[in-house]
Amino acid sequence: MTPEDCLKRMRPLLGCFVEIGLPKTCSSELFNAAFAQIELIHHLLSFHSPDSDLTRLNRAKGQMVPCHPLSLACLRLARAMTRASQGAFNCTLGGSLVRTGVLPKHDFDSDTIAALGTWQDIVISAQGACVRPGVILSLDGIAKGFAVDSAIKTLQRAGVRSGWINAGGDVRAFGALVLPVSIRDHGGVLHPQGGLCEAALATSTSCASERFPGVLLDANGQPIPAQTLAVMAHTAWRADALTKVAAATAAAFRSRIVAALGGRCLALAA
Amino acid sequence: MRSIPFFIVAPAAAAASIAGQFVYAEDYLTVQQAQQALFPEATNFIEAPINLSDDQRAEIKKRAGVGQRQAVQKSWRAEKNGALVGWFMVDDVIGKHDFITYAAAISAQGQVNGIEVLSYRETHGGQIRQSQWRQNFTGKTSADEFKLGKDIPNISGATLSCRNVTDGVKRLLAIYQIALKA
Repeated sequence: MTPEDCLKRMRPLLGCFVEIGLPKTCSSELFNAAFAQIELIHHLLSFHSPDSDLTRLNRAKGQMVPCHPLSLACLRLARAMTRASQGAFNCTLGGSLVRTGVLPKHDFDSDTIAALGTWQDIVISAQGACVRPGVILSLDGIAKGFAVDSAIKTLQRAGVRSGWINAGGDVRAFGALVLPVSIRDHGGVLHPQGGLCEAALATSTSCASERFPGVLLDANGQPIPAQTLAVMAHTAWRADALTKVAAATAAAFRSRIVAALGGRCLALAA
Repeated sequence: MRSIPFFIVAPAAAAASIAGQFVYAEDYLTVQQAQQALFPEATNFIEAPINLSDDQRAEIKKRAGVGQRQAVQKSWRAEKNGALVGWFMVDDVIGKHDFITYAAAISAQGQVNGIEVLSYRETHGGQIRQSQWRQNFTGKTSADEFKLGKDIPNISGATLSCRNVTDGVKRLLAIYQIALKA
């Protein structure tokens, strides 16, 4: 199966453009259900929104906050990856991002904001979560991939056998579909890669611009020099998070460390 | 543990014919398909372009923070058995790097019910980039593994902001307030 056998739709969500491709037999309702799932995660995990689960957690001053099961699922993955990568991926970097002005300040007390925390600062229960006071969570490095996986789960539960979702470069293909993909580097050059099948690919560039408003920080919360990092994995959340691990790891150890965490670093021709 | 996936065939090139003005061009829905997707309950769409005076356009800019280029906004009344269910508008946004046509559904109460991208065109950054882009396609023949037609492969890369479309929707809501609200 190729993309030509599919219908495609695109909507602005998660701050980027989300494209969904499904076999031509699929109804409009299936597309709508997948987009709705992504929109739900967008509302739950948005740092910018004042009433998302994430913002309520960040403003709770250490109190337990009831959260949607999807928020807790993403938080569990984020905490586990923060732990497994020894902070190379770090979901507690929100304070650094607020300080540098990348993310909004809300009503956080700037005197007590920690630049970063550790996985142990997050406690997750069956219905809610809490974060050590001063630690600010940001799920930017994982939520887009998580949303892709979650929407694919929605589609698969509805009986869809194959397709793909591309959320601003976090792309995953499922089923028998072979999706040709290219990686765009930080200079704008495209590198054709091959066919993506039952796999996810994520790419991060470490230079922020008007066009690409993302920013990557190292494990100490410092900006990373311009480069493009692409990672493949079985799931989009993992590929997404591992691009941050790759960015924060010295080139000599990058492939080995990313592989130990379940991903494959891709080398781009200069 | 499952082995970590890799690409099926590498590298896959795309058709050479598209190396023109756009690096990436994709059509998603026709106007009619978007109407049905955004207003599945509607039985009738009546074309009702909105003519905007200079004063109204100035007011749109004031309310939305973004200017209205066109004096006529493409718009349709979505009706169900003669009753208004909402407004369907088609709009373009032109960025430094992209040209996007999208449709927005605005309910009779002035809420945004949905947005669908109709077509997406990404432009070249420069001449050097273009020659490198062209090189990516040399050697592609019709017998190649992937039949891509006019499509370029999916792109994984730095996140392209959708702010231009969300700003465009703010502008459409201002148009609703100024020209459509009963």
